[in-house]
Amino acid sequence: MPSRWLSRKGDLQMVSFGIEFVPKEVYWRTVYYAIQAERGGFDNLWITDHFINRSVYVTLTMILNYTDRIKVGTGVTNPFLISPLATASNIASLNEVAPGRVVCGIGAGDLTTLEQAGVQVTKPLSAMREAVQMINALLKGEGLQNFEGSVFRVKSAKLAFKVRNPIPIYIGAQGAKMLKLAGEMGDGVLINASNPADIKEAVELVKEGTSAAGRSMDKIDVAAYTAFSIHESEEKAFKASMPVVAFIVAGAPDPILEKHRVNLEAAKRIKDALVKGDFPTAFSAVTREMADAFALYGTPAQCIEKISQILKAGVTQFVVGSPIGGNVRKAIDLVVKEVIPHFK
Amino acid sequence: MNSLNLFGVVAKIPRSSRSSLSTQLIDILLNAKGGDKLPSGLAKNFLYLWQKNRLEEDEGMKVLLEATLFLDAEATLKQLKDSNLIEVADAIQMAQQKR
Repeated sequence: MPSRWLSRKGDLQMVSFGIEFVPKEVYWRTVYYAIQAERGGFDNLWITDHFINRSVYVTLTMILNYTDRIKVGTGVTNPFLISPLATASNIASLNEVAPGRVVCGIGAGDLTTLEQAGVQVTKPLSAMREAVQMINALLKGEGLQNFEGSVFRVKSAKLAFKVRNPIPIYIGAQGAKMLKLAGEMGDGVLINASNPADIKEAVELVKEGTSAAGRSMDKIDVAAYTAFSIHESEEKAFKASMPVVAFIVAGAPDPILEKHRVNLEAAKRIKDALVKGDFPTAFSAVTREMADAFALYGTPAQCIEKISQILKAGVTQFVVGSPIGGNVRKAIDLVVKEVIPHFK
Repeated sequence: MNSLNLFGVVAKIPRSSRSSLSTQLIDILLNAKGGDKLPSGLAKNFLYLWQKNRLEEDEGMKVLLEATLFLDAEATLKQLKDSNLIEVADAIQMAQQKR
């Protein structure tokens, strides 16, 4: 359960802990980690949705069957590869396995992945707005009649079964407009960032969205969805973060890299190496500056300090995202034994 | 190795060794190559016993050994020997030779 965390300023904040897994391994390994995470006190679990990996819904179904309390969700699916109608059906079906423990995380998707799949991304903001409207309408049993969006059009759609409880929708966001949209429409927001300054800026944008819509921030679960790596040795934590950071750097637009004072030439070398499939070159080119900008890594004490900074920004859920650590089991153990107790 | 033999082997593992041994066997299981080849029933038994926190009991140790021997017999036997469970390792090797 989320608990109140006494910040250094002395004010009480609600904080819960989430964990993200990429289902790149056979299902039973991911389920093992899920059971470990639930037992260790994590409140939420997120599974990424990527066509090269195992199915997010098969993985989540298995996790729900072997856990009792933890809330689970897609982290995140996207409306370009998966129709929002299919997402609504999948999420509603999943909810029948464990009513009240399922949430829907949806974002505009990773451009590189969508390009690989030959999917043309147009109007991502409109697509997200419409997708959330469509999923909400179906989950609430209202259905859609002659829905005319600028990206999606639906003549008639309604689930043939009833969803017995409300299912929160979390919007995955990074850019300013998407963060505002999350504040306007989401039951939660998954802020795709790891740096405390970026997260603080993002929370302000979410607040702008809530204000514009006349909503209260209290109604939104604000999650910092970080690239996280922990180890007793800072060096090992950094090294484990390098592959994830390499992919983030390669996919980041130049203005974002410049904002974090990442050398553009170095970033280009990483991208070129990744495109060629030369992973050792790409990963070894990741610098500390890059990791500081795009990951949260370090010893338990260092992670606690960085998480504290993030929570001060108004975050209500801290998500321990991939890679978690060089040895996932040991890294979860460290978070459970040394990090979570500091906040709960 | 059949189930009966493994239950006999498990009985030789002292209770005091089970906590650290089960953790080490789990690491073998989680990191071995070919995880997708693990028989479905064995994977589900492993998860069920992990969910019930029973991996250190006789049945849990048996399933762990069965799974690690399936995925990486060499690492499993080495781990048993490193854990000073020579008699257990020998019993498994003898049973494997008889098969």
